[in-house]
Amino acid sequence: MADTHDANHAHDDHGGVGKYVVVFGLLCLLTAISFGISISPLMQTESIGWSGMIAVSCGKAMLVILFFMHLKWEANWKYVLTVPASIMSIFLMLMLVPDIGLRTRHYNDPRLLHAAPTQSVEERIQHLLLPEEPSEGEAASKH
Amino acid sequence: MGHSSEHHDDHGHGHLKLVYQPALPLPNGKLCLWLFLSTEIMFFAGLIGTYIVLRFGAPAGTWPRPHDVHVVEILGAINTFVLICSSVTIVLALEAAKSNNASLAKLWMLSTFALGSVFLGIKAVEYTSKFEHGIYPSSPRSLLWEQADVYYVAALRDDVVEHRAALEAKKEKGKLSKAETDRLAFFNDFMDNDVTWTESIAGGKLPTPVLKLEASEARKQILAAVADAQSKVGDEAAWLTQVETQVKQGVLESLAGRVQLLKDLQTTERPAAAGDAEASLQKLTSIVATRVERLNRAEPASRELQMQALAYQVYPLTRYEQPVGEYLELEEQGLELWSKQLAEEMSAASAEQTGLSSRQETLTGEREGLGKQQGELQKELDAAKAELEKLTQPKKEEGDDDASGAGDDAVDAQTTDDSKKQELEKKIETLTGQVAEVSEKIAPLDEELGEIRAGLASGTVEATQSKALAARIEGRQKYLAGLHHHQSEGEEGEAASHGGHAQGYNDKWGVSLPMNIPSGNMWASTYFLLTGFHAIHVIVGLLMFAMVLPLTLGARRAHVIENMGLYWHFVDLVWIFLFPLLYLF
Repeated sequence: MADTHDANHAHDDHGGVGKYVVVFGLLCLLTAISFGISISPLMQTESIGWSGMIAVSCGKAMLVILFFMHLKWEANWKYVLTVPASIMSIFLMLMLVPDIGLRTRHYNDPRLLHAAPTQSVEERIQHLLLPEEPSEGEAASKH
Repeated sequence: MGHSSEHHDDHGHGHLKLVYQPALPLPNGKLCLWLFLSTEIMFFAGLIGTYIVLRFGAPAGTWPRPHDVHVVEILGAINTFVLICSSVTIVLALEAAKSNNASLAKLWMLSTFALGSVFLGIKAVEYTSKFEHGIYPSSPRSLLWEQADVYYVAALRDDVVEHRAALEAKKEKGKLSKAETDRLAFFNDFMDNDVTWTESIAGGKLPTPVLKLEASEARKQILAAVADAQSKVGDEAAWLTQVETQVKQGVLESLAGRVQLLKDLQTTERPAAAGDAEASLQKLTSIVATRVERLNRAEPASRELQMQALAYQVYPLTRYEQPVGEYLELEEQGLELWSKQLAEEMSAASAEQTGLSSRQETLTGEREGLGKQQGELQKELDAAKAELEKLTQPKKEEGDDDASGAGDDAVDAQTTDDSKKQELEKKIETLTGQVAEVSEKIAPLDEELGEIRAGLASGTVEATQSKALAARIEGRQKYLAGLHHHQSEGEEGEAASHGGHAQGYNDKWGVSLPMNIPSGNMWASTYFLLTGFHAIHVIVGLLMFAMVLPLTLGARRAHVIENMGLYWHFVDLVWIFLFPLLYLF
């Protein structure tokens, strides 16, 4: 135990209240950025907004892991524990993509019948809006 | 080699300083915690990854937006802030413990505990608001329906009937309060003018008002195109007249009629034309095809939207606000047109009825005259027949007398009798003929009168039906006007108090009718699973804090605080991902 205590002391100069306050400020700022993305025009293409928010979250996670969890100053054993776990978790997510993520692209008819409608309400209302003037162009675009 | 290495080892035995390293360069407790955390990473990666994949894979418009399921961003943001603060306080507690400042460490630890409790408190508020609105992962408690379809409408009807029956039963006992009277009135209005109305339209018993609107627009355009073509091709073109007649007959109102119209347009021989006239004919063909296609698609679309509009009244989804509003506007226009058409039809029918009944009067008069005439003729005929019989009877007796004593007188009398008999016989013949003639005249009159009577009866039935339909349309119009009124009334303040969620009947009347939230059940399952597991971790963290709080948190216990801190930071880490995923996506 005494040994460990010494080791901890050796790293003490890396920490410090000032550093934690800076990290805290950064975390708050990044949360605000996430929120900003959610109400920004980026969300018009949802996947872009989502990816942005996830990237910001990854940044926040890195800050917490490196500074609050002190991993920045740990010895190389940190890679043994974190890298395989991260790889496996990403792999786990990717494994779900074909069956879960793309599920609606391979629906058979009975499943589709009991799924939420693929045609959105917005699309359906478009069918009912009366045009001002019918033209050949309209007839073509209908198809 | 072996030998040399052995030699080498021997050689170095006394000189090399080997450091004995029993394990990794970290305390066992910390190592165990990191191993535990790596399994936790996998566990939450599985949960969060599944959520991400489900969310990204959901087709547009089939996943509830945060406001649709009473998720309030600001509460999530506050919770994020609270957790970040608690992460800071626990590192500060660790710093204080390392510098052996036990009281400061305890203070920071206590604030961490308090912040964790605040997080759980806010979580509880959020869960309560979901349970209150019937958002559970699955039945029997869940009120969520994936689609606003006929099954949804049927479930809604069942619920409304149940609520209404309960209120009616209470009313009979005379125990209905003012609020309950209002609620009963609402349920009656909702049942008659929304649920039943939507059911009739969804079931195809009534045409959708929007289709009426489309059909009338289509009729106008096609007739204009026909007129245009006629001005160039000439009135005599039978093909054009056929299209015109069909459209005027109202074939556009029914699917079969529309199919027939298109078929006729393709198969019937078109007038040969050139230049301008040809272009005009082609334009007519394309207009008919376009309008008919629009009608064919509008029919099912408007049925579905009718049900969507019903579901929207119960539980409004933010993204449906605009399309449903647009649809209801169209419906109102359609209803106006429909009621106007119906009024015209009804007045035409009643004019026809009046014509029929006046004709009935004249015919009845005529029939009476003929009947009288027939009676008189019959009487005359009967008299003649009686006389004839009289003449025949005594003649037989006289004949007997003649046989005993013949006389000229008798012979004379017989000849007069014979001539009289002949006369009578002739008269009877004419009279019979006349009676038959009158009967022949009466027969068609009777037939026509029968027809008129049947027509009047069926006309009365039709008039009753039309009147009932007109009443329904009027009821629906009033109901829709009421919706506008409530909307403009409810827009101030109420939406804000419900976390940006517009108020539906469920909120307004404090009832729990089935709600349509696409993918709502899937959302609820994932939401409660993710936040539930996270909350369990928070609770475990709070228990650990509570266990160390009574102890002296000096340098001797710094490693304990460090390990708890690592765990707590991981809890924060998970929330960092949950916040945008659940609140902002």
